[in-house]
Amino acid sequence: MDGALWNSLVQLSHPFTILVIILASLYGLFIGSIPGLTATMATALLVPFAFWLDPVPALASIVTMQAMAIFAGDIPAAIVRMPGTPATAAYTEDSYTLGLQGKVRLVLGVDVVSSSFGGIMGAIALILGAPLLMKFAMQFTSYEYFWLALLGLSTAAFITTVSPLKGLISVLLGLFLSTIGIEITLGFSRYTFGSQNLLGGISFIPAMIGLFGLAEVFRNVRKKELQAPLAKIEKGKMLGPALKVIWKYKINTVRGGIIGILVGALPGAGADIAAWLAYGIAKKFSKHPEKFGKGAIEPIVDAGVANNSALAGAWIPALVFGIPGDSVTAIVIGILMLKGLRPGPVIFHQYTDVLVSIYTVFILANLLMIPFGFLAIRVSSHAMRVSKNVLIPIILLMCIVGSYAINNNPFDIGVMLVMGIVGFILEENGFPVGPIVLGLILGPILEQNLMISLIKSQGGVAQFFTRPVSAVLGAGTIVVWLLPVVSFIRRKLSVKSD
Amino acid sequence: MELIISLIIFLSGGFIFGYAFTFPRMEGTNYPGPGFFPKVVGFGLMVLSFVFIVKNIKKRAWPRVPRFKEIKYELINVLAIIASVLFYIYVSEYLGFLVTVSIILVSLMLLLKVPWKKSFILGIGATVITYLLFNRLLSVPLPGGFFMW
Repeated sequence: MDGALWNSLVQLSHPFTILVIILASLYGLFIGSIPGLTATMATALLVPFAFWLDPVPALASIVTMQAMAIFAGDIPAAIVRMPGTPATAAYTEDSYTLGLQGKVRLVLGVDVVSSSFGGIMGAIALILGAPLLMKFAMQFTSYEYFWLALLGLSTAAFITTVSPLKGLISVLLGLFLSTIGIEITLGFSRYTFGSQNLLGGISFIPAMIGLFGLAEVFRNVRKKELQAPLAKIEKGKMLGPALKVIWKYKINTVRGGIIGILVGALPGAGADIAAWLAYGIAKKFSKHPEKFGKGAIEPIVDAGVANNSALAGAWIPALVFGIPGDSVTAIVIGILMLKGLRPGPVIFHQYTDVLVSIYTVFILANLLMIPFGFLAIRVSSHAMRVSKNVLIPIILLMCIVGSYAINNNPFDIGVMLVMGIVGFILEENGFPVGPIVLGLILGPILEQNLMISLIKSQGGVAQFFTRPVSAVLGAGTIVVWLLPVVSFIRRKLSVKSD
Repeated sequence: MELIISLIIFLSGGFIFGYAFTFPRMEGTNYPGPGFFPKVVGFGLMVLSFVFIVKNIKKRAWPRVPRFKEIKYELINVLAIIASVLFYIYVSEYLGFLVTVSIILVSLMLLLKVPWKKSFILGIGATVITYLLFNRLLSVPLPGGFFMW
């Protein structure tokens, strides 16, 4: 482990890696501070570059970029009342109201510090939790992996979406997309209709860029650009007062961090849901819940910590089981596979240096956040003046080139286009896009492990429940399936009794 | 709109389900073949979308055709984006990356009401930077077109 730490420090201190980290930070801060452009989109567009880098700088760029983007999303919330990324939506109202009261500096200072703290808490959870879980994962066989994939898909569909039925449809659409191409048991090609390009299946990265990048472009060109007046950032100290606030709400900080890590680790739920949940829980326990939504600093601490700790939380199941905790880690798994690194216990044994580098980058990125964050706040009013109408065509160009660059195949641009249109229409009508991606990435894991298990058990199903861990996972899955049913029945009953 | 989407999903589900019956089976064994998983997925899609179809018919939520005037702005922009991607796919091979992308970027910026001078400078500038970045630095073989060697 010590050797691996040293190796990872050597790799990370390479001037090129440092350059990559700095550029990724600036990119993340820029995209994050522009309302309407999300951290997931930023990741999808980063992939073609990450693809050409070695694993360590590639992963480092994603980790830093994402941390910075989620923080930077807080900046426009305080200044123009628009969350820069969905992860800030929960406390936009409070941030802006405080901003109007001349406390922009305080809010943004708290945003930086809470994001950094949250990120570091998440990193610690990842460093301690992942190896522990990995020991557990070593004993997993196809039965456990089948249940794990099913459990992941089920939480993504049922727990983390507004409409469980729509979430489930999204999951199934993703699963269908994953069946396209050559199948493993008989090597039979499914749903390819003679197309050579489809034999290898739907390319994951172009699909991703379509769903998250192009769909975002469509959403942005629908609305006319609003030129909101910018709130002025007053002069004065930032770090000191912010630290005081964090100290005052230290319980909130720890609580927000834990909520973030847990939500992040849940498949399909990421930083935005972590922030909403932390906000809700903070309100329940607060001495002044009546101030929430009207300019309270307290929930900004809770949710600000939670959305950043969720980022590292999402990496835990991604690295240990290959089950992504959010959309960004889904992309990360895609990149790891392209680089021949299959997430799971193997990474822990053979690629310890990569793993330790990920840990180190998480800490590093969140320490860097403090100076970079303050810098970003200074120049933010300029970043927000960049016209979105100039950026959108350039983002479109990145979508096109990015989806082509992975395989140098123009067909992939078509895949990107189709997925972009489908993702846009579905999302506009309340069908979440995240579960589609999860279905696409977990589909093969689910199906292959199901098939292997059935072949092992000669078609019997009893073995899915007789192994202890597999029984627990199976029971968990069934509980997740029953939750929406129970809440549906309860709703019906309460309507009747009214 | 939800009704139309549900109908499309229902039909797709039916197709996925039906088509899976043409997949081979592993004869003489009692475990399912390649068709099993898609059948479950297709069937699931049919059932779930059927719920939405019934819901929308009960609510009489018929799809409303919006007046062209209401959606003119967004329709034109969305179609322009789609057209740009198709234009790139089919034309870049002949015109080359630099020309095709410059045309796309400048016209999209003009459509989005960016001042024309700015559109030309930024559109062409972004094209050249992207070209250098991907072609020279990352050595992605971007289409050269007829006047490149």
